[in-house]
Amino acid sequence: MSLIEQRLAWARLARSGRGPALRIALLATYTIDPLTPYLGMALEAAGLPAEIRVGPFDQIAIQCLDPASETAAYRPDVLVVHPRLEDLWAGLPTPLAGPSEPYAEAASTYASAAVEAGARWGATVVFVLPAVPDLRPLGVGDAGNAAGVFATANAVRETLRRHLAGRAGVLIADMEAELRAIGTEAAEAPALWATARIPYAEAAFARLGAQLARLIALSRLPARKVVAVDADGTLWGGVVGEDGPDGVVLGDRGPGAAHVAFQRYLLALREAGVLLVLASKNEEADVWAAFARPEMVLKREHLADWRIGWNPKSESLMAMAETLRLGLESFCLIDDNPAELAEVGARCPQVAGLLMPADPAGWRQALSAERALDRLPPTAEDRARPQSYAQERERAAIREALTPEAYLAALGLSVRITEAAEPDLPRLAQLVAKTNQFNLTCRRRDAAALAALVGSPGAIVRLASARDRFGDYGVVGAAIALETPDGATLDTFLLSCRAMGRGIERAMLADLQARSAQRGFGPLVAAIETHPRNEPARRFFAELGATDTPGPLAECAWPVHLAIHEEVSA
Amino acid sequence: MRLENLFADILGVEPGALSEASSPDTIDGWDSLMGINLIMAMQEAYGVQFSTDEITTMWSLGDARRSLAAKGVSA
Repeated sequence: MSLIEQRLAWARLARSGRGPALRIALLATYTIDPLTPYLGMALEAAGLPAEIRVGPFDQIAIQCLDPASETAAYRPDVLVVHPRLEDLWAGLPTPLAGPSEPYAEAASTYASAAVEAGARWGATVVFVLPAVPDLRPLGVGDAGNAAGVFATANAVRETLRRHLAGRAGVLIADMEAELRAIGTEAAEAPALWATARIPYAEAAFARLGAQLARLIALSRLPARKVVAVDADGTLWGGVVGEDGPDGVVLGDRGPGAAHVAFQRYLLALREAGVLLVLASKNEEADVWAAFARPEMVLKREHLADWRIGWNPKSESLMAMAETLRLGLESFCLIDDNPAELAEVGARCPQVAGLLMPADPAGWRQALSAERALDRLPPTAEDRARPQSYAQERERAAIREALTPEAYLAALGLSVRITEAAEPDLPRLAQLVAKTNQFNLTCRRRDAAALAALVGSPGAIVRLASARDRFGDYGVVGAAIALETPDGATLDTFLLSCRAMGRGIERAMLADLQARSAQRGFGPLVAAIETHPRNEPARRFFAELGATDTPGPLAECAWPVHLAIHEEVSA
Repeated sequence: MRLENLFADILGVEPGALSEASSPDTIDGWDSLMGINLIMAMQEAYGVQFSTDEITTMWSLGDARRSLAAKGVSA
């Protein structure tokens, strides 16, 4: 859709009087109204219909802090705050020789006000880091001035980032990224600034809207955690079945270098917790022979799983989803062949298919534009995930040799269940957003909503971590009970799929029932809810006598094979 | 796209409700922000840029048509 079509489509949508939507408030030091259609349409495309309200011009602090402000009364789900340094610095001399701190003061005040408002309103805060102003009193000389405009702007930006990064319920966007992408000359609108305090051209608003929508979607929808790649034409140039393992193109110059660079990119994804899998139409021996080439930086042990054979790729992906115990909606497939992507798209529409351009040198740029690969900064559990799948393969080896009881005993499993606290919020929010299969209620709350429950007198929020002789699972389970007039209701009960079926769910429920009694909430009441993929949770609760109408749960005993570990592992 | 259709879409009115004399004085909801919306929509739809002077003196649909014509756009 062209920019003007997006604008018109949004005008029609906004007038259509459609149903409930995400409520978004925009506050800026400038006229931010032109952002509305682009943010709205990008959210619409991401499956998050939104209603957008623009707060009064240049009133960020007062709108955030005054409980009677228009923005407070609107009760937004998401608060977008965008101060521009040009506006914040209006009363100061252009940075030239002094310290940077005074230039950060107003920006930091706005950031604190936004965080405070977000916490009070239960809203997710999206703070847009201001771009570096295009002011150069020294012209090219600014680059050599450690107290100049660019240097000062960067200092302020990093102060803001440090202040905000990692906070529950706060997302950070960056205007500089969009100015870099289109260039300041194309991004600025001097005539609109002079007449209406609109600093940016449509193209810049369109890009900012798309970035914000990607970020908001990322915080509300589960992220993809598996990247499937092809081998021929992807990891290397050429076809190993025809060219032979020594004939495929790999190297540090020419097309081979682009394939190696792509492998490095895959390894960076893996560092951040993405599982890499291979789906290749080949003879398996040929593929591993090519993997043995010294130019390969991606090694076989980096792969969480693989399917190499002649069956359709959709079947390979379905089989790997089964082995990894993940849904297909967790998968991306990167391929240079449109026919393969079409086959997968037809049979596994949940998979995000990413078609790469013919020249592998352009792949990194193509991939950075893909929403499917966006990720929030990883938690410790995310980073450990690829390793944990390797451990899982070792567990599978002993499972095959033993009876189920002997297998559980042989794992040497221990569990630690604790009350959730503020530092746990990112992982808790992630579990709540992502867990589908062992999730009784599939109630999705963002970090801000969860923060309101943690430590509240009417709620018990428990987190379970586990480990065994093969490795640490990290925090894998969460349970929330809410006090009611005659007991407690089971609001959330979920367990990461890779920890299912080992008794951890029983331990969690036994713990929650004990906590509920201890806190004086009384008996725990639950109902089985049917969601598209939560059959494992339904089956577990049905065994405990739960039905689809709320009723008390049978007392659950702590499984004998499970030890309790107290200390927190690294 | 015809100028009156573009204006009608942005203003949320029927094209028939607009004339060359249509302006903030005659159309409900055509406030100063809507005026800027119209300017930005025209810039995008017809690939033109208006100067500060043109933006501040453009008042009616007829004014807009004349400004566009001066840039060689007949819409």
